[in-house]
Amino acid sequence: MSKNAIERLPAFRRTADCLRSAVISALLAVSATTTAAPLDSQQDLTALPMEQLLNLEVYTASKFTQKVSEAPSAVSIITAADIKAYGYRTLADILKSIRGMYVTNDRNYSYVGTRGFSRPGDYNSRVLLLLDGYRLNDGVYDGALVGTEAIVDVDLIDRVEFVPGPGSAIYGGNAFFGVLNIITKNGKNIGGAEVSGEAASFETRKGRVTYGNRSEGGLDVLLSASNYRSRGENLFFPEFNDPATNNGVARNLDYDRYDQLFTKFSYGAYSLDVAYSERTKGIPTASFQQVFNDPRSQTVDEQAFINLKYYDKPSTSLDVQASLYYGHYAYAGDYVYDYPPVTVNRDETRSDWWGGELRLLSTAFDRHKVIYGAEFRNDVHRDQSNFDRDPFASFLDDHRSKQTYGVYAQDEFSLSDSWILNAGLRQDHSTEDETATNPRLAVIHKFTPMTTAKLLYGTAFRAPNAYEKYYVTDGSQYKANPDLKPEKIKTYEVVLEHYLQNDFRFTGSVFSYKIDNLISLTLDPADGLFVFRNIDAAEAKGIELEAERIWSGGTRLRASYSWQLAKDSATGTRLSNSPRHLAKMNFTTPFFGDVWRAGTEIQYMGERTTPRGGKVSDFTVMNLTLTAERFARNLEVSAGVYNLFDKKYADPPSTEHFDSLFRYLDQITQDGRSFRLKLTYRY
Amino acid sequence: MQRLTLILALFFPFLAHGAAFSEYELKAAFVYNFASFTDWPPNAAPGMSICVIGQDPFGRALDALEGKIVKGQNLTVRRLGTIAEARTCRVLFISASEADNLPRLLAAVKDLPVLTVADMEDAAHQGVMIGLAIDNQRITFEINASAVHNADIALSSRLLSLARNVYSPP
Repeated sequence: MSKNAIERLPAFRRTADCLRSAVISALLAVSATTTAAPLDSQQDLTALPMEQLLNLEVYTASKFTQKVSEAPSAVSIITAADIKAYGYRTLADILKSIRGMYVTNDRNYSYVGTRGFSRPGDYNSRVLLLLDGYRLNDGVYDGALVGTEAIVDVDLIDRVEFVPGPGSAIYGGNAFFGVLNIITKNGKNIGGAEVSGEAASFETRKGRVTYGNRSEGGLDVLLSASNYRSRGENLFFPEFNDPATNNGVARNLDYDRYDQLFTKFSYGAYSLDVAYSERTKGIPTASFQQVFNDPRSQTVDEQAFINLKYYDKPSTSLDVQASLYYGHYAYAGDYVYDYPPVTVNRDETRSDWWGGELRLLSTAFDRHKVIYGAEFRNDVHRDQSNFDRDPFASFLDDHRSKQTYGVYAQDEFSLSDSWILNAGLRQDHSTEDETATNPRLAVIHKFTPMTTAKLLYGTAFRAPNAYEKYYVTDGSQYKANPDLKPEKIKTYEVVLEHYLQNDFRFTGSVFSYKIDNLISLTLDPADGLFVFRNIDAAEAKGIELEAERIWSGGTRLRASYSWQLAKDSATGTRLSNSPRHLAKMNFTTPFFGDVWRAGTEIQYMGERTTPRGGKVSDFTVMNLTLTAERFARNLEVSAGVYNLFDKKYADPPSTEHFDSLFRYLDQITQDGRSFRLKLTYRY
Repeated sequence: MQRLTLILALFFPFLAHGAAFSEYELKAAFVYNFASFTDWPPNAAPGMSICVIGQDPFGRALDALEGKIVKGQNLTVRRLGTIAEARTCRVLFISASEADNLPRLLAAVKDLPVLTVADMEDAAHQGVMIGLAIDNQRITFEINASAVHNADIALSSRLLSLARNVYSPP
């Protein structure tokens, strides 16, 4: 295979002996590409016949999605080309590269932080996660799963859009700090069959088989299955370093296994997405007062959905979108407690829901783009249970259901060629007597076609989830609070976007967020029981800056810096797990005559406090990926090093990270240097 | 397709670099070709102006066409501030940034002898004369024959035969 590649690509052979210095060349390649670029511009493409132009391949990732400049937010987009160039393995990897976002991992789940907020014990309920428009947040935790527990393989993602700020005026609940929209590839993008295999550190292997195509008749089909198995490391926890508890080493407990299925059919106005995933993860941290280093401790998360969509344009001034869906989420956790005796306790959740949405977009009135929408969701099961397996004893068996209705409207009014007014309003009502009205207002001014300023105001809400309201086990120290109210956020933001031709973009943003009725776990002094209450108020302000430059030939540089200050409004203390500084740099360039592409990212995170008052220090991590899209005929090779300089760093643990001996974890150490080799063969 | 690439690579050594072309260098060459294969009616705007409305994605790629002779006229490139200026153009390139404004822009140049080219998927279906798209990392285009016909513009049959799709009058 590689012999073939060398014959076809003499440039590769000439420079093959330089392979060792590949890392350095990648980093110095800015100058390399600027010398390579004139080669293209010297070639007069207009002299070529059309037939040839039609056959030339282009590097398309360079396109900024320009509609973004009119969006009432400062949108970030990560494309399939980025996923490939930077060797992203999970959705969490993708989010880490987005301006102002950070991800915390406790070796069980991944937690998204944005604009300085990452609340302990929150399974991402304050970020709305959409997959091709379908709402993934479940009905019990409102959780959005983004690590290896996510529902879709990142290789199937066409792009991820992050719209920071409140999105409740269109999307209703959970669109609190932002909306993350995953758009998957079509069968046409795959254009055949793909088999991909990868091997990585910690005895990790992954396989994926995908078929995708569009028939002459217009039927687009995508079928994909992925399988991932990782044995994981034997992790050492200094807090548990005692001969009685295996000297603090969790043996074979960082294992991680998942299976994913994804299918997508579209024909004419209709499309049907079906997805399924199941992930099993060992718990090495003894969280929730477990016995440390017991091999039975694990969580299983299962997600599935069917989403039928209809999209049509009955006239030039009307778009009709409708969807009908069924969703399922199930969780089962085995927790090992020492009552005594040592007993396996099982925690289970079942969430099933169905619903539908209708959205009309009308451009019938000159200069107005009006959206009307209505949504209904029926959470048939929001069930939670807790029991000991042997001997059997039930502590919780709670069954709930809930219906939610929402109606909304938005008008984008082009006052003139340079002024746009965007106003939206949504009202939500639920059978748990929660009513929320959320407006959004944006004034967008285009100083020139290349410079846009946006003034944004919006509010959002999040209804308390079933876990916060009803999770109370008999004899535990928790009590229910059915009177919990939705929490609310009010935000102001000013955004400036500037483009210089098509190859330079600058985005700057200043924001101020204020949250009321924040739901937090507290201790009731009257009875000494833990209860979720709407007590906290918090606020955050900050600045985000990002610049991106593209060179012809596909070299790209993106750098961002965020400063944010998130604090408790009552006490003025800084929130836990809230870094004041975040800085990121992503750089990718082709080298060796475009056979290889290097993608490197550097991420800095400032010091964070832990919920228990400790600190985890700041760190910088660098990742490097080399990809040869056409290493040989039909064969793509990707080799990645993550945490290249083996930086030792840690994330703050939430307060439930203590073992059966009440030893709390001060920090959770993250992976050191690791490697991945991935081969993809296309037919 | 692989074989064709190989043959091309033998004859055009610069092509061996594979994906070295920026999308908009290529699209600029397409726009140039569209102009070359179009016949305008006598009432068309004088000169050979290619105009861009919306965010200019070309960088220097389009300006590089300036001074080339098309249909015996000097090609010029202009960026428009408002759509009203479009009647002085031969070719109107509608940038992807204007996707949401498309109906309004098309209404403004309706039946004028201006060749509309839009940089967005499905544009020809929506009434633009030529819609540029990307398919399998290659640039393709679609033609709306009725929009072309209504503007009294004639496209060469070669262009029509290379289009991925031609929408004809119902």
